[in-house]
Amino acid sequence: MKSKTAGDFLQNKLFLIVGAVLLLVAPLPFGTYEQNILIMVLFYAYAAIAWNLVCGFVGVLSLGHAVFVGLGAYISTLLLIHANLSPWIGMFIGAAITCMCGVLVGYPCFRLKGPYFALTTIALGEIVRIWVLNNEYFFGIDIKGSMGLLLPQTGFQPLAFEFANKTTYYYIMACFVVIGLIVSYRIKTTKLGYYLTAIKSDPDAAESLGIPLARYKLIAMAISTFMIAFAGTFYAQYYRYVGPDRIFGGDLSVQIALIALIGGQGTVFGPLFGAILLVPISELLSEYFGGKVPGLHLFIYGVIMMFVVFFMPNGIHDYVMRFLKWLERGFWKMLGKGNKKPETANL
Amino acid sequence: MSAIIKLENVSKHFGGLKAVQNFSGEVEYHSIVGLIGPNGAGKTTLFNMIACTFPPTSGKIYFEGKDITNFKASQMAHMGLARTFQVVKPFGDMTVIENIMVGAFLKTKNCKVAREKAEEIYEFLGMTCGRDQVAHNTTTVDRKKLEVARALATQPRLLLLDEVMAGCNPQEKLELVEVIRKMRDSGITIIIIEHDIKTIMSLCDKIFMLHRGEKLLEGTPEEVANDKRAISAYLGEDYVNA
Amino acid sequence: MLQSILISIPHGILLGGAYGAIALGLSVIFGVTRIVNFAHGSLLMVSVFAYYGLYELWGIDPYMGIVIVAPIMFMVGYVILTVLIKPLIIRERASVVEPTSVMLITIGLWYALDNLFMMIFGSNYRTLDTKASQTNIVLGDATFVTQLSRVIAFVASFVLAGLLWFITNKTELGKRIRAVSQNRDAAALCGVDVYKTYGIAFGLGAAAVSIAAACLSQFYFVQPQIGSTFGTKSFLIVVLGGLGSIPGALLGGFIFGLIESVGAQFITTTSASMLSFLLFIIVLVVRPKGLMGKL
Repeated sequence: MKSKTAGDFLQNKLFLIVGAVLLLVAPLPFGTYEQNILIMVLFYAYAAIAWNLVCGFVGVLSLGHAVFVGLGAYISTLLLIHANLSPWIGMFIGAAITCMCGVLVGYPCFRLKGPYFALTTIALGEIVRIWVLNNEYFFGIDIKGSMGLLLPQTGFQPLAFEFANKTTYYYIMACFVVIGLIVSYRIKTTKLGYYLTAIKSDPDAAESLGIPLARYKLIAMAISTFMIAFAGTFYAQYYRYVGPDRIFGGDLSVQIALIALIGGQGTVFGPLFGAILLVPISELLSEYFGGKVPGLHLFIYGVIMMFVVFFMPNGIHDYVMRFLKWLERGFWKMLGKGNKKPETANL
Repeated sequence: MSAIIKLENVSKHFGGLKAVQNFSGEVEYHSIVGLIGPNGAGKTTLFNMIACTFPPTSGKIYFEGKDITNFKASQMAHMGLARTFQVVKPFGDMTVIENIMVGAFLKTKNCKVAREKAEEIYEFLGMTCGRDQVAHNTTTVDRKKLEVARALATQPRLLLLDEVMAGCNPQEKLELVEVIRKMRDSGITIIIIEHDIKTIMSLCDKIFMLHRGEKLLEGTPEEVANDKRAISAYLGEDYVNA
Repeated sequence: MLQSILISIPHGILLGGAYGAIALGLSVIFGVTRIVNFAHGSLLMVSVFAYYGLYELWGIDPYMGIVIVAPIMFMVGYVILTVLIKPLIIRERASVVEPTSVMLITIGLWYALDNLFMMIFGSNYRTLDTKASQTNIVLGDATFVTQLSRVIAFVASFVLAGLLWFITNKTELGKRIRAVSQNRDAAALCGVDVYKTYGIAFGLGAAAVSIAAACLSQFYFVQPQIGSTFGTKSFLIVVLGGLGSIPGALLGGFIFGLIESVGAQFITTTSASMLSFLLFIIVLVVRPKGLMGKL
């Protein structure tokens, strides 16, 4: 079995091409309801990819990453509301600040071992959520506390990241996902990726080879939190509203983590597969059972989580890749080029 | 200055346990030095202090003239000091070549260069397990070699080998001895902890013997083999031949 | 103002006793198996619902109900360890799987259980109106009023702690438990069935939390959310008091009870909980052993 840190370039271009085409045309045949689901799939995929950069690659479990999503959302939205700054710019500022916070948090916390780190991230998430819920002002800036931030609706303002139809939002999120995948791939196949895998595998051995553990963990954390902040801005611009309970909530954190874990942590495409599998389930369940059976989709997530940890600890990634490889072989056979053995890059 | 490493009155206490007491010694460049003694004598503790896994309770350690007593473990590879672990620590999910590459990345940022270096070392050590074999699927001997390969990839000037031959059959030990000689010939100083006395005697220029944390004696293989204290503490009466 | 602060102190201590009782089970499980059981709060919640069911359907008073629920929860705990966790530990030792898998499966269990009950019972809260919950204890001329159930919970925490201490220190089983918690492999070499001992420890923890649940059910709501609330609180308490320490769990409980009770005089309860989380993080980062921990 080839290891997950394949350094070779993508030999299997076919599934990528098909994937790219699907990505481009996906929203077109559908109505707004389905498009919303697609957008949510991409949103969670992107967030999970960003989460994976630190948690999957380094091997820590953060159950409070929603904080960084929320920070990104709040910063760009506040800049929009109070300073009239376009979210296209605001999101970079949000990302930068979030990134700094991520590093500040990581620095003392990375010393903690597995479960304690996880507990600390939960605690941090709760602290931020409760604080925002209960406070109207932050250094004089009106953050509206529990009421959340409402974005002004004008319908169509591309410069203000506001669009009339869902399709545009879809393509924007699709771009983010592609960027996320590229970043993941670039990290995995370069020195940073090797070092992170080494740190995850055996920190003592990694140190003996000259790898400064803290520095690399923080680099991963910085990239992860920087990227996930953009998801926050997107969320705000899409829903036109951000509230502390949702955007800083433990549920969001756990959902992001679950999607990455079930998809396959430490891989490039894992989080995407996870999102494709889980988000439609969640959305469809809320549609059909919505208010009638509260907590159903989280229950299903919990069950799937246990199932996956028990039977497929590396997530569904390997199975999906094998399936795709099988499909591709079949395809080439059908075309009469039966002897070609495509190599699926193990991402 | 011909000593690559110098220890001055190094001691290490773990609570009430005196693991190492007042150890002093020097290792010359391009030599192979052996560290022997019964289990629990403090050999690995000494290695850990030299590699800066933890600092000594007292005393000083000099590497190439620099005081490294309180340095961090991750700094040592940069300074030219590499080590292997008594219980091997491969990066299980990576392939053999990728493991070695991690070491090679110390000296380069480039993936291709690292891979070439890794291939070079793979050849140099005469490794037989598949290049792309996942590390946790390798045999003990291959893992030992991998451990050495990875350390070698950091291009050290001093290499600490901790019981590299444990668990190897005589043929495999001979292979490793060859490898160690090759490494020394390429300019690396080696300190080796081993229990196989025959190997130590044939390989080393100088031997330190530790007993209960203290340096019992220091000398050439002949001197050690004939020393009464060494014989009674560790070697046993049958050992007179180097 | 001063008077209300002073009164809040004994209230806080009473509350702290209950918290300690809840956290005891977690401390035992962790102390022995080194497993951080994220589903601890869920076990509490399930037990509370069990007592509710027994009381509403058959009129069985929760304190009596302990006789039924505690052994069942013991089995539940044992089964969770043996069926869900043991295979992962075995797998982990072969180094094929990340050690976080045990943690992840308890997280999955937490989510599944809490939301299952949410689905069945909804988020509305119910209360158990028993004699103990209705009887008030009045001190002075109504300056200090509390429910009998809270006082019982306070006393129960010591009894439970004593019981657990007795089991772990004075019985054969306790010796095995301590051996396994100190050195798993050495204990195995001495013939101790490690996984069975883990299972028993887990069962004990679950039974302990179910006893605490009997007390809690009579002065707190019966709703699925209490799983997360108290689960998280238990972690805070156990970390503060020191993981694996029985007196530490009680001490941590008291400190938390006091923070919440006295703090509520000055700031809102939600803000007080924020402080608890902050304290938790500080303890973990600065003194991970906690106040009395042995790890």
